[in-house]
Amino acid sequence: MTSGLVLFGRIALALGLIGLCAAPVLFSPAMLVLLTQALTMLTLAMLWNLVAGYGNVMVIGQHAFVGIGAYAFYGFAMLAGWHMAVALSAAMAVTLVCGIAVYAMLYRLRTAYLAVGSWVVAETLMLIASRLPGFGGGSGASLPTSLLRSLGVRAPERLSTIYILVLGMAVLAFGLIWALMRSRIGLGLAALRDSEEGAAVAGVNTRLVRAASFILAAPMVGLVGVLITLQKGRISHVASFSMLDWTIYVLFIVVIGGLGSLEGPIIGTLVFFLLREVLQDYGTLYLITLGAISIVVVLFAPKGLWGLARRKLGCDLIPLTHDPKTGDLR
Amino acid sequence: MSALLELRDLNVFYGAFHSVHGINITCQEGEIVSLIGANGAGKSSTLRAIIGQVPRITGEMRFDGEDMSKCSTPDRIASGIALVPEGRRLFPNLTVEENLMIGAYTGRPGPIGLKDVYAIFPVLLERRKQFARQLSGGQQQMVAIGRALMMNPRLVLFDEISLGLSPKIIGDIYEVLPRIRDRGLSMILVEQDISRSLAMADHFVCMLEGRISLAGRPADVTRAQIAASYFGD
Amino acid sequence: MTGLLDQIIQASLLGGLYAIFALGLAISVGVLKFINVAHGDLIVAMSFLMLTLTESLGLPAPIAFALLIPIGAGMGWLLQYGLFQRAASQNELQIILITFGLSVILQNGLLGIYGADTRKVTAGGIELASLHLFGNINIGVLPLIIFATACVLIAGLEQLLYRTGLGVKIRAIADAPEAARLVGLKVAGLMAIAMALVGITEAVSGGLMSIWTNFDPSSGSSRLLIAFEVVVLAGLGSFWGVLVGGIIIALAQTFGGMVDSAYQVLAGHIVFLILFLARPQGLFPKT
Ligand SMILES: Nc1ncnc2c1ncn2[C@@H]1O[C@H](COP(=O)(O)OP(=O)(O)OP(=O)(O)O)[C@@H](O)[C@H]1O
Ligand SMILES: [Mg+2]
Repeated sequence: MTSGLVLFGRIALALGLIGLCAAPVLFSPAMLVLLTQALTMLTLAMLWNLVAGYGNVMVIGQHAFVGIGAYAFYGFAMLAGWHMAVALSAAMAVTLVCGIAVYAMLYRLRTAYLAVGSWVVAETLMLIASRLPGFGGGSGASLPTSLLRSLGVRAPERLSTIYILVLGMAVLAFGLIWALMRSRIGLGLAALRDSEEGAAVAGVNTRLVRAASFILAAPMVGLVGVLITLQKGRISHVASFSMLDWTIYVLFIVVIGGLGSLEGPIIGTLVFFLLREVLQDYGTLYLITLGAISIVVVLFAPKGLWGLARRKLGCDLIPLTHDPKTGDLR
Repeated sequence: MSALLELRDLNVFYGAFHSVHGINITCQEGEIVSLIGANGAGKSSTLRAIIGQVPRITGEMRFDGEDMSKCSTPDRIASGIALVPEGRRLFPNLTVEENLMIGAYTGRPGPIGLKDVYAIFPVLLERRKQFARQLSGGQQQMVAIGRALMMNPRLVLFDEISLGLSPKIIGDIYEVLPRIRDRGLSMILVEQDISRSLAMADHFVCMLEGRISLAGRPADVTRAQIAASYFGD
Repeated sequence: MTGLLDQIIQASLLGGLYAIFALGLAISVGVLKFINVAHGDLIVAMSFLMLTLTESLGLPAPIAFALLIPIGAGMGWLLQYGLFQRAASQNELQIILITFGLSVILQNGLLGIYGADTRKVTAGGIELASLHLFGNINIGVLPLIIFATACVLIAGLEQLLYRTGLGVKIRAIADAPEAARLVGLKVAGLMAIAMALVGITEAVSGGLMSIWTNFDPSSGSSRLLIAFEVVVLAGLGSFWGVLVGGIIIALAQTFGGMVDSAYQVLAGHIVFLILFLARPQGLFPKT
């Protein structure tokens, strides 16, 4: 039983995806840059949503993994001189290891402590990054043009290569989360989202499931860090570990769009970039507005804009659960 | 003179769940009313409705002639209703004395003070500086009762005070109830132990699935009648 | 050698300021059960208010400081009633998100009003005065006042929470909020009072900080992190532990700074993380 609205929503999503795939031939370079940024933020939002929305692990130090990914990539590609693809995989491995270490350190903390604790860890790592010899210290370091050339000889080509990589990353992240949510771990996560005690009583290994959501997200966030480095062409502790860009904005996107749903980050990203286009010139007012909107959303629509829409639609646009009667995707 | 407590057509809802269906209960000044019923019959819900701690009710609740169904819990307690909640609900990291004092802070001004509580439960005097979590179950129940008495109530609601206690301790605690009655306090007793509770009561009300299945004076009914209305056969 | 002793004394006094930063957070963690991410920004907002009172209105620093305190109390009370109370039915995660939004609003609000410049309040010479101790060791009068204030605040809070009826009620709510409702405690009002206490510590922190150190609209985050580290090191419910925690972080920063000024903040974080791993429950947990 799908209503017209749902069908409309699904068609819009599908058209959006087709549009994104065709973007390199359809749009101007400026538009492509914007889309690259949007997909980057979308990926971070989906991953933070996996950890906080589904896993109930409230982290506000996600920017640490962006930075680790960026610095590790620089180290492997530039300092060790590895091939870019190898360096990329190695950077993901490094963030995975760091994710495990950080989680082992923080998992005992209850929600609020874990949130600020993860922030302390991120701050520490950022300060360490600023002192690393070989990585440009406090001012950062640029990727040499020779390396960037391998993505395309001229700037527009590079743009579309990076865009395609970012699109691939977003699709990969989405696919992984979708598959994860439909696996046994996903069932546990869904139970966890509804009620932590309930899930524990129902025999879900809540510790394992939370750990999985956190640790699996880490290398993906590292990958985002690598691609951000390719977009910017440089690393620096301020930009690569930017809390504002890679955590605060991401939080606002997910909260406004809808925590704990697949659609939320997508809607949140759309709203975020729309607001940015409208309010960008007003400087501080832009962030104040974002902060105020997120407070209002948390207070009056805790499931975000998607939560409001879903009440109208009655079902998810992106089917996730099986119908218990027919076994079909709902 | 009107009754001390009067519930008229009281309904209790937890969200969409309708837990108590239009019950009427009256408790006169100085009376002990025994409220019995199987698990899930709605006894605790009724007591929590009287104290103002259920999400939604309809119907009337009059205390001393005044409609209090819209009043907050602090107001109800300040006007003389006290609850000894199911599971005791002490403050584990506060001392015995602090737990008792909470009752004095939220209740009515009146004659009952720490001295009186310690006179009723001497063991609490010895342990007054200990944390509530360090007490045995029976001692914790004494603190819960003491805390309610410190509110100087006119009506005390007891929710399963014998739950999880040994027969000896239950006996000790039940010995206290007549002394409380002698001070002129009314009581509503919710209890699994029917015979003990009925032996004390002037009146009883038996609930079954949120409705009253039998009510009257303990002397006027047979055990078989009670059993039938308790289990619903 | 006296140079080292001098550093240790200075660091300990700085620890007093850190303890005041942390006291408010300790109350909100212990009683209200959430971490206010905007805690540091509220402190900085108080510093800017101090700046306005002294520079724009020309009030003497002590009077401006005295004015801050009721303002801080009122602000805490209003925040609890107007904002956090409304979210009380939601889970911890959502309350953090609200304080997060508040933090961003405050930082950018201050940025819009005062600009990004680094500021400091001048207090008519008291910040320069110092006492000669022995050898070549001098103690600044202001750091001494701040340390004494920390001790007075801690002692006062202990008295309030453990010796008064209001304190017993507040601790009861912290201990078992559901039970508190059943026995008729006015939970919302008491929480607002607790938050007013937090507001007072924020006003004191902000007022003192504005005279002692430089600040700018983005200083709040680092103050929050210091407060958080101190609270975790102290352990739940321990106010004197907060003083010790403050001194530990201040010492770590001072020694880090002696190696290389860039290591000052980093050393504080690293010492915190090591101690936290060794004793996750904190150094002086009460329960
Ligand atoms: N907080 C709640 N939310 C939803 N339903 C509730 C809640 N509390 C009680 N109920 C339901 O209301 C009904 C009556 O419960 P209540 O606790 O009043 O029973 P009771 O007679 O006290 O039982 P017991 O002897 O087990 O204590 C039960 O079906 C119970 O499931
Ligand atoms: Mg019950």
